[in-house]
Amino acid sequence: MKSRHILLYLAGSLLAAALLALWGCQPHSAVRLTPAATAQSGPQTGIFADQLPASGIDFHIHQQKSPITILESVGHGAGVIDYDGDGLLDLVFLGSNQIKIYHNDGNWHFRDVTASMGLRQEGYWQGLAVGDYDNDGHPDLYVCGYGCSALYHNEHGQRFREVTQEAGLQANPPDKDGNADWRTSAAFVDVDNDGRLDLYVCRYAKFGPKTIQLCGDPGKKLSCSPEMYKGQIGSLYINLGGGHFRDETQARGLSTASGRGLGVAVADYNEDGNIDIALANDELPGNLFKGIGKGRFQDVSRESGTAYDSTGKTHGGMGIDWGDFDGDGKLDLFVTTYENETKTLYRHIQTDMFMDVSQIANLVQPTSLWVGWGTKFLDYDRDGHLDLFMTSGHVMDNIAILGKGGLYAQPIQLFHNEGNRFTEVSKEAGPAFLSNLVGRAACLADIDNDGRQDLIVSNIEGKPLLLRNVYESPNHWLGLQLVGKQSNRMGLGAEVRADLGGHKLVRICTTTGSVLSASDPRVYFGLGAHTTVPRLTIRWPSGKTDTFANVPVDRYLIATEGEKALVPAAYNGLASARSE
Amino acid sequence: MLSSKPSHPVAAGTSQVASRSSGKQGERRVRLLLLAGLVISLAVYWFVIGAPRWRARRLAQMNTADLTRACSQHDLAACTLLGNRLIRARQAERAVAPLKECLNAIQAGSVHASTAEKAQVLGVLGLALALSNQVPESASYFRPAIYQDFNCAPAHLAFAFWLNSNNAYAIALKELDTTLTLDPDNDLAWFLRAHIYNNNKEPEKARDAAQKAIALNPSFPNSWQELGDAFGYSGRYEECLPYYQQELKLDPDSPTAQADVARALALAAKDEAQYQEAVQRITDVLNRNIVEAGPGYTLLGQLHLRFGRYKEARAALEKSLKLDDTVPEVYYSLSQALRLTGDIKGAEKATAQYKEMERNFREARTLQKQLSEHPDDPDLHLALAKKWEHYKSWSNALREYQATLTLRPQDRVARARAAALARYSSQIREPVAKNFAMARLLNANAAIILSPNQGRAPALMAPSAAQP
Repeated sequence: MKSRHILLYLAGSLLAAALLALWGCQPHSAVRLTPAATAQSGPQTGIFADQLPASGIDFHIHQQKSPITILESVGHGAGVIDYDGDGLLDLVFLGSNQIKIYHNDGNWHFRDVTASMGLRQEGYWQGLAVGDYDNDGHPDLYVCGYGCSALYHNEHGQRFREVTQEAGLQANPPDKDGNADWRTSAAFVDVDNDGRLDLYVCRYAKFGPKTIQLCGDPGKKLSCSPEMYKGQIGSLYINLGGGHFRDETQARGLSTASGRGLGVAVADYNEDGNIDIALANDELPGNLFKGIGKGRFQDVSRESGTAYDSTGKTHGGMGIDWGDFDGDGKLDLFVTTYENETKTLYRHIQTDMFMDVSQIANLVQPTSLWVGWGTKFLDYDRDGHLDLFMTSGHVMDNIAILGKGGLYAQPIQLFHNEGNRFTEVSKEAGPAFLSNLVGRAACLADIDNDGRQDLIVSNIEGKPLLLRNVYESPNHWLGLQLVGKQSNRMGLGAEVRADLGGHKLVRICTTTGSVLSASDPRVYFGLGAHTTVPRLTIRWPSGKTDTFANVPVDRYLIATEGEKALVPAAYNGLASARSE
Repeated sequence: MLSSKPSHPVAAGTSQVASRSSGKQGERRVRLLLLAGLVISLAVYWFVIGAPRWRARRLAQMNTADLTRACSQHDLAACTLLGNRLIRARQAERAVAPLKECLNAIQAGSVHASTAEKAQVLGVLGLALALSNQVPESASYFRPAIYQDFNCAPAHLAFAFWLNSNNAYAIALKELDTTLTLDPDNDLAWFLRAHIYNNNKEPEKARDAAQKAIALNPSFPNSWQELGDAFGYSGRYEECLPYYQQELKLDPDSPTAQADVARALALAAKDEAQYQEAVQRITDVLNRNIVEAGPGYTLLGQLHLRFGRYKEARAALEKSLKLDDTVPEVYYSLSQALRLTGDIKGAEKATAQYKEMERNFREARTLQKQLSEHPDDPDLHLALAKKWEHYKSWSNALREYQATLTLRPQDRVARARAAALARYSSQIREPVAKNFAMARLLNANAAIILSPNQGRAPALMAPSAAQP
């Protein structure tokens, strides 16, 4: 009996030990599956480090209801503006009934100055644009959203004054069915090269209290697909001078836009001296409007091959950006799209013709799962090849609960340019790239003027990301701040070419691109091992060209239209000086 | 222990000797009773569980010829097993005759079958018919099977296949739920689930279901195909390629598998070597009539376009257009090829054509989405019917006109058009509603799955019909 008891005891002990071991395994594996937790504990490494926790920025968004409708799913943007001209870019974050401005105090510290800025908070703010529409040397701010639109004049860097009504930029009243004027992304652009910045505003869809709010079976409701709503068409407001704008969409040839516009990017892609406008439209053909002179446009969306993907499929275009990814001197176009759709890279193959090369460029497989939004070409390692950043996030907050096989929060992704194709480097890019967020806007800016391009990402379910580029590289760089004389004061729309002897780089001066964003207007070149730029050419929107020889590198220079010399910017090293 | 308790209260009061002797007798009786009980239990176990299991194991070890022989002797279990085996070997049509014969024997009374057994035969027969392109007839078998025995998994599965072929995907999924509750290891049910999710453009779910089907039966090529499709639908062409290659390995003569691999190679090509291989593979399947020429040339043309072979692209796309002028994306790609080879006028013409077709298709899709939220709106049905008619998709148009009439019987337009279309419905052949090469090829694949003619090229694409 005794021995039987001993055997039973031993067996019981073994069983208990096995159970304990099994139980003990579970929390261990759970910890391994949550990289965010481990990310917070260790030192910040990689290519980008999230500076938000110690930045003083307390901005965050939490959706007030679930399921969200298509209105909330479009989300809110973010941008940069050096409103006080101190050489450090300040941050703007948008939300429901909030427009927050954070002053850049240097050393990655920001101060909420919203209260003294004179910004009207009421409104469902989604997109913004930055540009000096009156050429007074102070960048102005345009913000818009669902049923709201506001132009703010920068009052000598002290505060903003709303001038929406005088400018004629107020939102249209709701239509007879109650659908509000729904504005998304916006772009300051001088379409007629008269030296005054005009404004293009994307519009999304006819959505209002009478339209369907949620779709799906009872108990499984979710936000409806965009096809449930008729599209609204964006507007081009011509700057008449004196602070007045006039909607000339039809007269300028932009009324054939497909509608449901989310992203806008402007550039003179065909180098004919006329600015062109590209639109990313949600589940409608994309638009490319070619400037044909005198501020008029021709719709070349289909002819150019940018309206659809390579098989002729319409996609859910959201974010958009211009950039010469293959270094052939011609601007290419990238459009982020909905899940299971190709995030489309259109290579500019010959004048006015583009070809979807997403597969060849290795972008299809790593991106197709995600609902892509904000995107920017950048050169994070300063090697002279444009890399690519994309942020993603689903439009259905309850996607996981409904078992539809998707994620609401999704990863941000970084792709390194290997010459003419991309390799995803997100895993090495830093802890922020290992956790997910419901990303929307992505804007590019050198926040600390250290010659490394940083990123700001808006999040519609939590805090934004403030990604500081910490990549150590021996490569050189050059930044240019343009000052227009005959052209618009910020030089927006100018094209700058750096001839490195056998390697020519082309970059554009713009705050547009991505989605619901406004980026750093400065023109940035990664130069690799080049210690000078043998020849630098600026083609101003006015048509004038300035050429410079043997330009020094690793600094920001100010190029004033028509002036023979480039002047070092006073803010070179300013952020680090302040921190000391 | 058992003997410690008297068997009867009276026995407790007798003498010790008598008590001892009667105690021994009682003990013996109890032992006998226990033994008898054990024997009876074993017998019951054998007849209820053991023998069928033993028979099932014995049958499972039989080859198809032996099973056919056993079935011809009206062995019901052999017949159902034979049916299941042939279905999984994608020879469902071969299962129909022996199962029907077996059923006739049951109905004639020459074979005794329990209700559950009869339902099994009916269910498997229904499934075999559903998978051998005799879907309408299958209903005559799976329906009574479900009435007779609701727990008959093959009948629910056959019903799901029937619903799938009638585009009733949501109800088909519910039937598959029932099937899998009754038989969680039914690989065919997981396969059909994957197929429906792929049709519904839910690739994540399709992937899960296909992986389960493969885990249960890795030798069924169609499950590999569904797994490949699940990646292909998401644009993950490189990832779908190994699954299609596995499909081809399992079924080297399958035109579907050959077409799948050719298509995946074309869509996944990234460099010159892959481009060359893809061109060779597509040309091969085209020469061997494995894929329908129209979509095949479209794919080839688009591949040439992506790799900068504009003249070759133009030639392939023009060939595609000659074979079928109803496919919008051919116009789109051709417009690019024409423009890039200098024929601007031709390019503009093709662009205009594409724009019109694409707009119609998109509007139809929008109406479909709206209808999914408002299924009882006759105006939406009518508008969609007109769109389909404009798109020359007559059967879809007829269906929508009929839906309009169900909701609004007095609608004159719907009545007139439905009558006109019905008159022509027996004569017309029409293009598939989905308008993109990949979707078309995938549709062709789906048709092959349910088609008995495994060795033949799919003939889904028909020339455009005259306006009725």
